[in-house]
Amino acid sequence: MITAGQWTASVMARRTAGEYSVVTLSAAGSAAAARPGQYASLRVGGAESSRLLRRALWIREATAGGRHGGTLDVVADVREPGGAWLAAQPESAPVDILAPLGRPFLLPRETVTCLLVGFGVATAPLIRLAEDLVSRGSRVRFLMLGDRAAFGVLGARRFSAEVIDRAGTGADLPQTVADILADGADVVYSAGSAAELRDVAEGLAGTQVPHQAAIHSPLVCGSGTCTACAIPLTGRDSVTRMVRVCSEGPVFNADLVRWADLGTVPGDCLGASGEQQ
Amino acid sequence: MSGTVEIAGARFPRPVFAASGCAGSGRELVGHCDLRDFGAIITRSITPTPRAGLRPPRLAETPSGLINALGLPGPGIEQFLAEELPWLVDHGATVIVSIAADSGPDFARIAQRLRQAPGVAAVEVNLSYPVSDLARRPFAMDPNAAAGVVHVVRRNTAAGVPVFAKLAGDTTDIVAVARACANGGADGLSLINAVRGLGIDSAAARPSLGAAVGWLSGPAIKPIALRAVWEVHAELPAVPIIASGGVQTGVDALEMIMAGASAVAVGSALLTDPSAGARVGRELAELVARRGADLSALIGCAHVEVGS
Repeated sequence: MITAGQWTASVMARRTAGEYSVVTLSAAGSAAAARPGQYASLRVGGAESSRLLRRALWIREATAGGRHGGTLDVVADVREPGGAWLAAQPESAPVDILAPLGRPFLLPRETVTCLLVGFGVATAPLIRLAEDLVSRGSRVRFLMLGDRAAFGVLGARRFSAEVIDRAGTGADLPQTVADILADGADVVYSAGSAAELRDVAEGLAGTQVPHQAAIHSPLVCGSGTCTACAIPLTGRDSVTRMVRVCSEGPVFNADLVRWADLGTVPGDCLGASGEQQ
Repeated sequence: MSGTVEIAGARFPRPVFAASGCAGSGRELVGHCDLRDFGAIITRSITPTPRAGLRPPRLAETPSGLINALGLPGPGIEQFLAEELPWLVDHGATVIVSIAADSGPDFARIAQRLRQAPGVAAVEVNLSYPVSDLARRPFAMDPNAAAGVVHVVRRNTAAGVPVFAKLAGDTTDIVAVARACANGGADGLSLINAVRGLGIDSAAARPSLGAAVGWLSGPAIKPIALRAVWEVHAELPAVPIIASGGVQTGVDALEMIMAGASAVAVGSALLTDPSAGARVGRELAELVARRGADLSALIGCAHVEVGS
């Protein structure tokens, strides 16, 4: 695992389209080796801001070398005040950043057919994953769902994958996933909100297809300290525990996530009690 | 440089601590800072049994602060003693163990278990329990209840290991609670815990937090903390205080010391900047050095000519 660093990055470029902005930041050392599924955590609003919480943003691209020793492209949602602040920063503005954080997607050892299911802005980590998979000889089928506006700014169509565009449609999601899966996939990778990924998991129910899911949710500290992002997950010992998306995820083996119980502390969770529901 | 501080007979290598609940198990900060940067790590509140915590959302941003309703998630005393405490000690941390329970006998049981464990520099009694349970008043809201718990913990803690009572910032008469705790055997006080607060998500027309009522922390509560430290130090100058509440910089820490604190704990700042402990310590040391003073000479030094 790459150790996360904290540094003051410079804004090098940004491109905004609609509700999303991709911001390029200077990246020190190992940060540029961020792997698909990892994220960055940024202070927003400047040193005197009354907005204290860091923003966890997907890493769209990481490049090593170059004049600045590497760059990270992160994706901000400008509907949110912290994202709007970041998107409005001029070139060379300083931004406090922690990266890369979280557990990345695991790549298959063999060349296989992979179905990638991305929702809106959470498609960001899947694009790099698709590039990695294709370069290793795997076949990639990419199902794009959710907010179509995100795909343009993410540059989601510039790689050699079979893109299945269902963005913005009101299709029955579990059925859509099941139908596409029936056309062939050995592995599924998904990224989206908990509610979206629950539908993907439902579409895969009854199959033995391995599914890694990257959960898009607000992450506060990024280090695992605050425990605000905990979700119920059943371990291999069959015990359900509250685990932190920020540090134990954001990528999980989807079979272990208690999808139906997200947003709760299930009564059979270790340490749950009546008063905590 | 501001080095070792002596509080209630115990020595701590630095005056800046990590506040309870804001350093996780300690492991989360490794890679971001050295645990020895802190005068002490005050652990998350350790409870009799493991706790999963409250339903989400558990945390929300507010102007100059944050509100949380986490529900004291943690491993419980037995796993803490088996894994977390030895790990912290192995990594050079000075450890103050925060404890929480909902009855005197449970507090006594945790204190007895800690008594047998090596590496406990002090015990902090979290009197704001039971958390987010409006049906029951936290101990910290009542001088007699608070003193009763402190007495039980003091009686079951080894001599030479100080017991600090952590008080609520939003109690009616904090000096009365502080005095009762000191009389009950507290060797020092931690001032203050986060104060109760509420957020409303207007788009969803519901509270921002899953548990509705939560705890406000961050710079928004710094004046409340300063007031508590100020009033308690004025009335009980012999009782040492670990101050917490919105400390983000060395200046904030110095203000707490000038109001009457002997040491300062950094809390929410660690959630937004995991390297904040070392930075605050460095800034405080520079400020103290610039004044040409020893830190101990600055404790309560703002208590002059007020009101004249």
